Amino acid sequence: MEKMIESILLCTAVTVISYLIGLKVFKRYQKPWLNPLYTVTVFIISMISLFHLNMKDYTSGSGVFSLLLGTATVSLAVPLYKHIKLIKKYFLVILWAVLSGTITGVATVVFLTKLLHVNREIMITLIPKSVTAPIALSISQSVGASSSLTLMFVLFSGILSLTIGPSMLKYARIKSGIAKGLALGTSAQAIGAKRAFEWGELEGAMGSIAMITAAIIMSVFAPLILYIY
Amino acid sequence: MVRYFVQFITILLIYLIGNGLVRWLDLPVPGSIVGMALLFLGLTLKVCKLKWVEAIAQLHIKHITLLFIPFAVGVWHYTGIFRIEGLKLTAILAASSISVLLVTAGMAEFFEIKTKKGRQNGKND
Repeated sequence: MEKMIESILLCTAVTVISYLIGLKVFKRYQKPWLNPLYTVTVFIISMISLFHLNMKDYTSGSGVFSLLLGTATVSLAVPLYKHIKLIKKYFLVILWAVLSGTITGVATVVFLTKLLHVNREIMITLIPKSVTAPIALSISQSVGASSSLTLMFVLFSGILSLTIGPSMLKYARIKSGIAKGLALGTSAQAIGAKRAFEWGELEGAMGSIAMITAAIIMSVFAPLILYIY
Repeated sequence: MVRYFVQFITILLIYLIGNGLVRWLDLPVPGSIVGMALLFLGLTLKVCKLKWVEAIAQLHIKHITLLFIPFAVGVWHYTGIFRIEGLKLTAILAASSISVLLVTAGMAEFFEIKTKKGRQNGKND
């Protein structure tokens, strides 16, 4: 018990202090690769290896962050509520498009992991990959997958969709702003929604709505898929 | 500061109720999602006022990266998987993400064209 509290205090203090410093550096130089998520992660991993500390002592103390991810997920109701007028107006198209997209995401992961003989354990970690990170982590934890790996997959697919998404949509001759916003929000989550705002208010709002809708749909689907397979 | 604290307790309570419901009804969904649905319903039905939770919700979203750091550090345990399955995983993630993007966009555009045509036909009648 004492060891647990010690571990939690250590993890929380180290993470928060490094984050605040990382954030200062990021705000000062404004470079995307200086995002505290990358710099602080690399910093903490280097510190642990440099001083031959036990990685488990750090990661086992992440309880505070798991709790805050839960409250962060609850908090997502606020941006969703702010778009209530748009949700009511475009309810059917949002549901139809995001549902199709999310099913496609799950189906392609299941099919490709079978095709390439990737084991089931990794498959369940891959399934929430197109979901906004806080919810992907909750889903991952509730189906018993590795949260760390899920986070990596979420970040990777988000960055990938963000980099090639806008030009893919252009090639596919997608003209509707609603379609573009929904697509980027479903595939690239928060960073996609942010990018969609560059196209316009409506596109951006659709991006945020799609991001949260996709997450809700996935949280129902993921356990179902695991039940079937 | 007090305001943030009171708002945090509110959100935390909703989260705990969500967790409680999941355990009680044996739902397959994470408790945080049920909490989000409850808060959304509360806001829509005006049971909960936006100003009761707005500041803390924005603070959470602003500093969400902080919450990912311990999980990102934990990836250190899994470097082996990337060495063995890295190429396959990259291929799966890329193919799946592009499919999600195109299907979502295509379906939305298809829906819009269909409903617009429907409306125009309606006008002509």
